Amino acid sequence: MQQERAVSPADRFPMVVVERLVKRFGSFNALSDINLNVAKGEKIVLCGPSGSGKSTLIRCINHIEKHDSGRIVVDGIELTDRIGDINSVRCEVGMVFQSFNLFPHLSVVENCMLAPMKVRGLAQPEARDRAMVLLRKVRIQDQAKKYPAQLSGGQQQRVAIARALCMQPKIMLFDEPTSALDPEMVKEVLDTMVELAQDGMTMVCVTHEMGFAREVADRVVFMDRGSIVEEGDPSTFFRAPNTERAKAFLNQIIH
Amino acid sequence: MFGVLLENTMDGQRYIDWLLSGLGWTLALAFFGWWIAFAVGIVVGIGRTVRNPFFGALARFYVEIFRNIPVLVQMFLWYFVLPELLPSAMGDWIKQIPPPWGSFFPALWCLSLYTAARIAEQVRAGIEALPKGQAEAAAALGLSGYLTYRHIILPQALRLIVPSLTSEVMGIYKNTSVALTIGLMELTAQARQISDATFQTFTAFGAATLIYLALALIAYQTMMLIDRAVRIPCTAPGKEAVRSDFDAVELESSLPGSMEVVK
Repeated sequence: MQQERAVSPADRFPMVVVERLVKRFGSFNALSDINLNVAKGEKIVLCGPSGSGKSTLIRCINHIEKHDSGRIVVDGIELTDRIGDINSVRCEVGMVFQSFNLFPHLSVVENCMLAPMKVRGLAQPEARDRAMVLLRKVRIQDQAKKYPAQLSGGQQQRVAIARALCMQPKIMLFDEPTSALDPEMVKEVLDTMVELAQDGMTMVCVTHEMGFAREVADRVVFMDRGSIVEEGDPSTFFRAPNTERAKAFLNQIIH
Repeated sequence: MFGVLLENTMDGQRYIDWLLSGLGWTLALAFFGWWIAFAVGIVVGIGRTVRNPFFGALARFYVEIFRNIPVLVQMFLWYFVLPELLPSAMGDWIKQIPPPWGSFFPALWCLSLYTAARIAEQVRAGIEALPKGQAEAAAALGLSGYLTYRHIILPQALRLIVPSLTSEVMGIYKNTSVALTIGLMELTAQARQISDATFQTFTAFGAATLIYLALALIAYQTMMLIDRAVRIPCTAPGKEAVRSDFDAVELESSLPGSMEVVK
């Protein structure tokens, strides 16, 4: 069922190369034989039913999950067991989680300053300036001194995006960033992501927000049961998916 | 009733001086013992949570040994048995340490290492109570294991366990009384000596009891203050969580330093 891929920019400047990736949880094959290239500046939306392995795939890209076999190369660095490689990949890859995962004991601005100072070695004033620039970008600079527990879900998620951006990553991974939000807060987070896309960030997003996928995705990758079933540009995929499984899935989510 | 405490002893002091000297040894033992126990307990507690199987086993071994042997037996092991196990030159040297240090140091090791095992289990519980997403988010930002523990895991875990550490603070100073069995003249030992000298058993132990109670209250109040001081704004249980009270005053000062609040 592997689709013939048109000559995509991915083949010219691969930012992420995933080859024959396998990940097992015990005897369960979470990912089997995944191949995926992400080009510089490309925006990819991963979708599929729950348990299809899409979150696992992006968690493998920054080695939060350790893959069992296959290759992952991020910005020219292959992910092996070497801790140095893993940490240098993680510096270039920002990640936004479903449950925000802000550090509750640090204020908003400290959340954004910690990694640039401790990992990138920035001085405190520089780190603060950078944090404030990015908090302004996600329109939450007024809350900089508050603590995460004092913010709404949408605000927390925007802080999480700013925190990831403070490391000046080359790629951003989004793991269902709007799934834990109240409906009225989804838009503010999606708007932030759209702006980020327009700035040219390389993005891999696991999301079921089809409006977002239509607007920014260069490619939609549909996964089921641990493999990539279908991929294509969003307009074709949503209008006329090739596979039965993708059709069934789209029928389920478009009420 | 406590008048006898002001009477002169045979050596020209007053009985209350004996009591105060005992209090001094009790406090010294509890104070230094606590800091050693806290430091060792954090290290061992972290060891219980790291993925490295060697450190994991080592930390587990430590906890099982020191937590499961009665304090009194441990006291005897440090005082009577250790010098016999060491090479004879070193054993003799230990036995010749003059009193009270010859009793103080075994008592100090005993209490700190025993309490450390208990603290380690609480540190482990605190670490395991944190959502997994915290460590993942730290890893995703490129923080190493050390930085993650130092800046993300420990500051949160230690805040969580302040209430249960309160019992450990109170525990270690109460356990100092066991040191009388190896001849340290701490508070209980002095109370017994006063009782033997004056036959005023009720007065002697009554005074010691009151001192122990006062110490317990001080320890409890101190830990409450610490709990309040390190609390994360707006996450407090009950009455402290008043959103509108949260104001710039407190925040301005806490901004640069608060990353370093818990060392």
